[in-house]
Amino acid sequence: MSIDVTSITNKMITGVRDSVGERWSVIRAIAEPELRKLAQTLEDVQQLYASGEIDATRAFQLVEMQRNTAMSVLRTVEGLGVLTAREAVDAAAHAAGAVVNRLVGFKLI
Amino acid sequence: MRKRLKATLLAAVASIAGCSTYFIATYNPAVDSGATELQQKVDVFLNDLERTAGTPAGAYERNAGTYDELRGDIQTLRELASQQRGNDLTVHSLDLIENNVDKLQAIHADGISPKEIDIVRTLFDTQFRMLVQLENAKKRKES
Repeated sequence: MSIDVTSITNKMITGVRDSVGERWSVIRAIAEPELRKLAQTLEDVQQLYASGEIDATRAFQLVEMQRNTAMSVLRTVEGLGVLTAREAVDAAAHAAGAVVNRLVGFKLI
Repeated sequence: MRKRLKATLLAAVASIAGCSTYFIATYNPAVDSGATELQQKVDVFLNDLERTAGTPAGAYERNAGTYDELRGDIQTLRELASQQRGNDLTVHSLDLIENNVDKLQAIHADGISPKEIDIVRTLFDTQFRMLVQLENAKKRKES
């Protein structure tokens, strides 16, 4: 049995896409190749196991490392999402600034 | 009516401008350069390990000190990063790298092959690339 890398990649990408919503397009170019590489490493581990070069314990250890790495990708995705959102918030605050400052009579924003 | 509109608008703007959920630490060049140096150190170590795998020079006992060294470097970076408010993502990324160093050490202690080192290298490369990417994004945001 071999791993369908394309299918795993798509599932991972869909999972991330669902979690980051509309910010996806901004970070897609960064996240997709990384997730594709991670899916490939899963296949590499599976092949080493299938050929008897590693045992189940070792396969598990490598998959655990793979899982940590996937988490690293998601941390960065989250950070890029926050920075993107922050830009939107800053833009909104800036746009509202002129109106609000006029209303309160001093430079609040 | 006008007062009510004012109050509503002010509340909305205050909630946007002061939303702490959206806060992320400012760019810290020391964390950025430290992460890049650490990445190079890990890369050199894995290259050496791949070259010497299966020989006395690649034995775990001969390389055990490197793991302590790497953990020390990660801890130094972690302390630096954790001094900044809103740097949880960077700190957690460093924790994940440290966790993978621990796992690599456990694998190495049992014996590691060049093919496994190749997989491990891909994983560390991704982790460091992601860490540096996040730091660079903070930098771009400020410029």
